[in-house]
Amino acid sequence: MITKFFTNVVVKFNPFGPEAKAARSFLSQIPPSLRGLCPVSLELLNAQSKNKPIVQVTFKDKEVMKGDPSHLNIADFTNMFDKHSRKLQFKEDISK
Amino acid sequence: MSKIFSSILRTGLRASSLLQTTPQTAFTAIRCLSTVQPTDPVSPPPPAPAAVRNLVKPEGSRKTYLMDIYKHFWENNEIVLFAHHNNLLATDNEKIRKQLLHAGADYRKVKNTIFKHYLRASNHPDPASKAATRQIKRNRIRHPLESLLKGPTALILIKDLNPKTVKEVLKVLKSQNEKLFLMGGRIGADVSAVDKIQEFQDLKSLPELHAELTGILTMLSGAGLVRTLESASNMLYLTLDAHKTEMAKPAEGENAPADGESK
Repeated sequence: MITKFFTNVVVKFNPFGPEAKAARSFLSQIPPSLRGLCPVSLELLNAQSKNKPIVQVTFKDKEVMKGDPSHLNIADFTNMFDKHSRKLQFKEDISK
Repeated sequence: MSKIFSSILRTGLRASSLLQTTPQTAFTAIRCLSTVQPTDPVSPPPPAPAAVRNLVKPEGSRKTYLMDIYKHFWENNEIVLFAHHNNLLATDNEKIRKQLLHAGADYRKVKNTIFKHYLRASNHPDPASKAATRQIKRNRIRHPLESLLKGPTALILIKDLNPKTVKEVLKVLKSQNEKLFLMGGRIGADVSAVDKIQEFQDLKSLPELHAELTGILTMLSGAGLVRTLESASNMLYLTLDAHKTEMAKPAEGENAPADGESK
């Protein structure tokens, strides 16, 4: 997953729920080098909470993409975010 | 020498009965052995073979070792907390380990698949054995905490059931934000989610609660409580006593000399 262009990440999930796998895999793919640049806001839900599980990413160009980790797996998230990241990479390469 | 000879003869006969050979052949075999290796009467008896474990993986293998050590962790710690760790650097790891050790907890990263298998087999005396695997398959055993083993997972092990240690541990975890966060765990015998663990850290420790209870009992004069506790046994005594006198009455009426025996 290309994480270079992420500026903000929001993850909400229930660790006991079916969405945990995708959400945790996503979290584990954010490298430590991105720590100062991209704040990760994390919320753990429980069975009673009304918030829905979500993975939301804000890119450098303010584009916001989000998905539900209970329906999408990590490969789907990677495809979704990489699609936009590649566009940004292309723009960056041209402007050089 | 004659003693040794007789013992050899006896073992030879026993061996022959086991191997279903004639006593003579067994005897000659043993006699040959005795001429080659003279038995030393002072030598200690051979050590009893250790109980052979029927394991899924070889005994010296990494997986068996991990299963055994997970069993040790699970059974020797009252509180086991599950945390998600996110790409921690070596320096981070060291720092967290030191802080947790200072708080009175141990920190271990686990191999998810092996730990999941251990959780399912934790009721079995030897979770690494083939019998444990068969038991899981036959009864389709699932553990409520195995849903937490779906990514990089670490265990935080606390020996005693002490809320203060949990409080210290949560303080350490809070400073790490998304790098290391708590997901759930086991407190005593109960499976707890994060909110339950948050509640638990505000409780008083068990000795404190005991002291409080004894304080209340002495303050509110224990006499009433003692009377209440005694009342059941008193009632039983009185009922039985009444029954005894009832039983004694007809015996007295029928034959007087039997009275002495009943006493």
